[in-house]
Amino acid sequence: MKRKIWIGITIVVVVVIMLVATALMNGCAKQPSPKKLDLVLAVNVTTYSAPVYIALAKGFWEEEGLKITRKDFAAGRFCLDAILGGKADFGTVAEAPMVFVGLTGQKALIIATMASGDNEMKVIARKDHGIVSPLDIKGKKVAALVSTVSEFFLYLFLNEHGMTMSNINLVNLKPAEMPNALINGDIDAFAVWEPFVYNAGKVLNEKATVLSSKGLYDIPFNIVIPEELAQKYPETIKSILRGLVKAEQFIGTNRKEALEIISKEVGLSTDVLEGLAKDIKFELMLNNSTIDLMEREAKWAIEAGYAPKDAKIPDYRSLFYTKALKSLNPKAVTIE
Amino acid sequence: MIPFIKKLSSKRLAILVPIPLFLLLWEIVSRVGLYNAALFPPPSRALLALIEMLKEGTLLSDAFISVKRVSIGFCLGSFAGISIGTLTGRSKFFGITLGQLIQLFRPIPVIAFVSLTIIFFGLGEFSKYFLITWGVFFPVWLNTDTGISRVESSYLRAAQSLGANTRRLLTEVIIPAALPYIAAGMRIGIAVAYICLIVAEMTGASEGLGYRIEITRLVFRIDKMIGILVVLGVLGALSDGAFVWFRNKLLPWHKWI
Repeated sequence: MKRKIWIGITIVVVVVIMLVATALMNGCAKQPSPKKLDLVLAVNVTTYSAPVYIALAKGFWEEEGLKITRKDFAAGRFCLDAILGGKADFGTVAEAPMVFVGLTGQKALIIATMASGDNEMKVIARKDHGIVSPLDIKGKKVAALVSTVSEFFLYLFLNEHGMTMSNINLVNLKPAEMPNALINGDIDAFAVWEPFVYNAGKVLNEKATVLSSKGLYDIPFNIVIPEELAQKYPETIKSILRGLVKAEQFIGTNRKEALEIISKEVGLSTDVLEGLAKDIKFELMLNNSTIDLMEREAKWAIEAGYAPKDAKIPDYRSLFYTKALKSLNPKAVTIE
Repeated sequence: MIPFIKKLSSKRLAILVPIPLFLLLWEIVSRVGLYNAALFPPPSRALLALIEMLKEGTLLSDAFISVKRVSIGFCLGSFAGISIGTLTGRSKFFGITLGQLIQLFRPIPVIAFVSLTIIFFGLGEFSKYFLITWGVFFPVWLNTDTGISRVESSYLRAAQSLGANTRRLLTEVIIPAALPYIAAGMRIGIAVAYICLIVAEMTGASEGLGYRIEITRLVFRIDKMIGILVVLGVLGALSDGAFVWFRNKLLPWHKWI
């Protein structure tokens, strides 16, 4: 019997040693290379991903010698999972998921904000469920995607109207599931980005109302990379950014064609897109204002219990890789 | 310390040592710093997270709603599985017609039905009960069908020769003879119910342990997630233990240890 116990103990010890060995092996550095050419891109379906869609459609990254394999995700938060899990080399992520990266000491870096605007996030609600003004949302079932700009915007929206998250019944849903849930009457409202608000409004017509929120939340929509890419392939990052610069120039000079490309990707007509794009600034930059916003979001995350009560707000500057953009356009970088 | 260990019998050592040893090694590996402690927290931090959730009140309310969902789904799934299993196990006609239809759906994982369930039944409680019922149904049905169809014909002939009608044959001979099979199916059903619960609560829920796991995943609160997983494990083990106890009372001639 004692022999069996020792065998059992040995097995447990061996399992632990194997775990440690795996961790060490994963940590071993591979041979560096001057440029990584085959890249996997994680994209979130939103009008803010427009520069990425254009760069792909017009072959701007191919011109830079990059071969891109694209993977679509329901939200930037899931793009981030792919980046942190080593399944993507770069991706589109807003600042909110990056707040949690900082709070948990993980390694992913923002190389540029490629789009920003203060009218992308909206709350759409069912009028026939008794919601005609923001205050009517009290006590209702409201959907948002937890830990993303969707939830943070809802938090800001409620605060703006003298409410807190405890005043509503929060339902965690993926953006693509929200319009159907609202149309079926399973929820009373949802807070998310386009094109989901527009899609729900189109079906519900008079039964729905979009609650005004312009100016409440200026979202910086970013390109994020794993730390390893910055350490080993700085030239690749410059190529990614050069492709995006070309895309943004294209949006400025070939508006009609650009809208047609985006239209195919997000499923909105060019007329609707024209209206939405007016509020979006497509310009590569790295601003201090993003850091201020992330610090504010970190406070919210701690208050909401998403981070330990004793968690300290990290220095979010460490989550920015400024070298590449600075070398292309020094004026675009205000982060020191 | 050593004399104390020497005094313990081998059997007691086998019971007492593995879990504390595992927890101790886990604590050491996590604290050594090979992994990011936020993503691979030590068990002591998971315990603190559990206490934090208890203080917040979310743990008890989530556990309560999840147990309620599992209980209702398990009862409905078991009832459907036993009823239809009896039908398909006794009747060749239903065995072929219904049987092939059920076999068509059986290999499809519950997760594949989540979106369809939300479209059909919405985000309310019914869709969650449905998914758990759906998952529990198959193992219970399969075991009931097997158990019922394998009842020895000598039992049936003996009962019939003593004048048993169809109802008495079913309730006093066939079902009791098939009970060990049915119980085995239901025991598998308990584990499946918890799997389906998590699947059902991960989308479109606003409370429950599955919902909480998803939220903690999204915000990288792995310490809380591990705490909830431990609670789920304990609930599963308690449910299984309670079922085995009840089954042994019901079938004293066919006890499980």
